[in-house]
Amino acid sequence: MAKAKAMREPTFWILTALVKQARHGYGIIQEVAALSEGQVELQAGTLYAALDRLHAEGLVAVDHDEKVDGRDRRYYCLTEGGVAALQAETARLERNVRTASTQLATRPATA
Amino acid sequence: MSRGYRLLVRAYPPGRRRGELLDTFAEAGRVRPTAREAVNLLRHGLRARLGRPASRGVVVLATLIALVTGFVGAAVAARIAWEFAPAYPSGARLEAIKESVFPGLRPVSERNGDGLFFDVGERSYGEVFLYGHDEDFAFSTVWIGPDGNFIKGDYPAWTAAAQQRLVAEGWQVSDAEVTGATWIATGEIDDSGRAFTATRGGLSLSVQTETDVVDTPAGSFYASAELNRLTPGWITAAGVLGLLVFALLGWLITGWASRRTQDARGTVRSLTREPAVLALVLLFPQALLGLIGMVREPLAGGPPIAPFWSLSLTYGFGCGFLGFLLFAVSLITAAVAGRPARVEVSA
Repeated sequence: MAKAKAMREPTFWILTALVKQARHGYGIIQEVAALSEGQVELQAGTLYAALDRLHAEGLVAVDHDEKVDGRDRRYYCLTEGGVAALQAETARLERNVRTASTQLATRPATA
Repeated sequence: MSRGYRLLVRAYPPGRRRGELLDTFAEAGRVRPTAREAVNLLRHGLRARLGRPASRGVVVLATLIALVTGFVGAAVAARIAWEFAPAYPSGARLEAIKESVFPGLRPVSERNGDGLFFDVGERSYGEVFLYGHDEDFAFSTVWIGPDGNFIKGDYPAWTAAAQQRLVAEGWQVSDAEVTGATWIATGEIDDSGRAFTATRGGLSLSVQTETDVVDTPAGSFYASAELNRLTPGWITAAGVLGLLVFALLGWLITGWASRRTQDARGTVRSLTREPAVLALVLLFPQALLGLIGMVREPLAGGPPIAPFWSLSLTYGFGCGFLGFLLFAVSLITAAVAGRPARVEVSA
């Protein structure tokens, strides 16, 4: 079986932010900040570079375009491939957490 | 929306991504870009220029091409800047230098090239374009020597006196080094001469005395001096500027070719990529050596013997010529057979 490759943190949070609904750039930034409880603050350049890569890998797709006050706004959604990738990453993280928790439980108590 | 953001999003290729970014900043209520935002936008914008967002290979290729084009830009800019460098002294100024080194010895001088450079083949611009320069290609120098080439007397004493004369004339003079053949058994130098360097007003004067020159009369020594020009700081600065501008151009042109061919069929992609990779095999080593030479030149301190791009116009000329032809094949393929990057439309 091929070894599961760890997902980069911004990628993980961007995919997670798109699980419930399609979102545009600023919507993703806000959702990532909320879901990560402020731990991850995406820069716009980083976000769109990740979206381009995820789009090329088939994990996200363009949902629809809007024009707001004359400005271009594009909404992105998760593809089936994106859902599968996020599930695989979640399972990998769960396994890691389980293993670490088991190890910590066996640690002798210190005085 | 501030002009700062509008300028920064131009790092991205033309397209709706610029509008999306401006929308994101407008919605976030951002007015002026921070330094962190500026760096982030420049970094990712230049990456976006390359297209193929999932590929790391294109970044490596663009970086190597940018180094090659940067080297070309540095060489072109420095070459042009050298045209404005102060000329070698002539007339009374040259006579004064000659008399300072060889007083009362009716010194003579000879310049080994009319222009900036010395090429034993004396090739025209057309010949240089076709064949490059001869292997001895270097900056031209002015040779100075006493009439008859030999001076009677003791060379260490004469060297010390010459140093004192030049110091008195305002030259910065180095210590004299012992020169001569090296004994293989002991590694010691067989003291048969002295050499020192003096600098003043952008000029470097290398003075040498020798006793082991053929036909040196008994009780005499051979003496000569060579006048070179030091590289002015503004020529180095012009080279750095040329490097940055041409490196950016190389990156942008690579991005243009990459985006035009990213959705093309395999043959077109191969005809763009493979000649470019082969061109890099031919060009990158000499570009790297040239750039190392460019960095070392101001650090070494002395006058440059040959320009930092000399390898590319002598031994590396054939490889370079073929390399740029291969780059041309890549670009022509991208221009003729490529198409502008596909614009994603919403479902």
